[in-house]
Amino acid sequence: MKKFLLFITTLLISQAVWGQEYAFQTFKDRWVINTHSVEMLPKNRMDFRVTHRFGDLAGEAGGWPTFYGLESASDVLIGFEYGATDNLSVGVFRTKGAGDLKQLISPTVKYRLLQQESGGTPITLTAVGVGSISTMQKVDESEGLNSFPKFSSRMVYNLQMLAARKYSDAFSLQVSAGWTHRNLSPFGELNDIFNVGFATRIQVSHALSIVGDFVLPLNGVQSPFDDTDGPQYSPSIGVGIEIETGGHVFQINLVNSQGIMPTDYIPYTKDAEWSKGQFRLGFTISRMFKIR
Amino acid sequence: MKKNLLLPLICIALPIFLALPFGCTSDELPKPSLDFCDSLSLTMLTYDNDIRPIVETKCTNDGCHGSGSLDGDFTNYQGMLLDLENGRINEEVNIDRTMPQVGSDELTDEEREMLQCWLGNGFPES
Repeated sequence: MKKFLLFITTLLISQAVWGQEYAFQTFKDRWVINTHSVEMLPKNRMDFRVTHRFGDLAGEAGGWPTFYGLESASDVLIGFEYGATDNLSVGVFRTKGAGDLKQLISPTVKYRLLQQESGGTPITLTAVGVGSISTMQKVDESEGLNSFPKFSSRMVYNLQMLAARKYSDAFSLQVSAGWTHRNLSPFGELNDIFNVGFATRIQVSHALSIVGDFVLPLNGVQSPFDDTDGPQYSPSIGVGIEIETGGHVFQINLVNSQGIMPTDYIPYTKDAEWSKGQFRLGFTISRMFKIR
Repeated sequence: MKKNLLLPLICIALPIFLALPFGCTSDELPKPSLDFCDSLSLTMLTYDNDIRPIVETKCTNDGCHGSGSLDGDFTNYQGMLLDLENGRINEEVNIDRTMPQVGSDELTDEEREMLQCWLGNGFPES
């Protein structure tokens, strides 16, 4: 009987200790597909990342003539992110840009406010701030964004609040709310766009996961709720397969938006309807280094 | 988790700090100017008669939009049609003026006006 009580007591104590454990790897990577994930870089780790989006896989601009989009690049990202602490990361990314505002340099700041722990905080909460500056050449005669009437016209900002929960080793879910501000908008469009987003990760095997995300603008011509006639904008939808290979995370995906940074794909995802074949193959390679 | 108010403040303050040197504005581009193409001769422009010579000298001659180009094969009307219909040619030539690229043969004012009117009239082939 004593042995049984000892066993129960040990079990309860160990449960209590485990109860303080933080959720490990809600997502494998710091980005889902288009959206950031709540996942953070550990302190003093640097992440080097290359992301590529090809051309339309099908439809009028895809198919055999472009070898299903592989012969063109909608957008290309290259950049670094550094874990200043376990809860604070800073990064800088360069993208070709796919929307009206191209050639973007984007400093980012990411901070984890809450971390899910079993028997405690139910979710992980992370904030991400991105400020993009376009290095496009100014064209005085232009009637487009590259007329850059002020220097500030080159800037776009995005702030996202991400909340995620790891329900089991096999399933995580993330919801987000965001705000994008363009210092200069095209005629008839809003400077401020608000959005919601959803993302998920389903673990299939030890190294393989299925990921998906969805970003829905809520206002302006970008929103499906806006019935203004104009350029045809679409919400961003991506599905992908993520493979972890020890230090590397490799992802291959299908996504309808052309741009990679939120300051690009939230305001400028147009001509991107899945039903018309206007989606593309993309991939990400991420490599983490230990700095100290 | 270690609670520290300083770090959330940094997270909020840093993007604002990044924005400060450039300012945070809320400007909108003016309505694009319209070309009425009043002249009868300009409203009758067609690809076969008027536009093809411009495209051949300013777009396809350096090989940029030549035969088999991945940036768009503009050696014939069919090759241009997708970029005409999705507005890319109008956007890059008339609005942003990023085409023809800097360093290539620029369009004369007369050629640009002809292109604007032809695009405005639905880019007829013949």
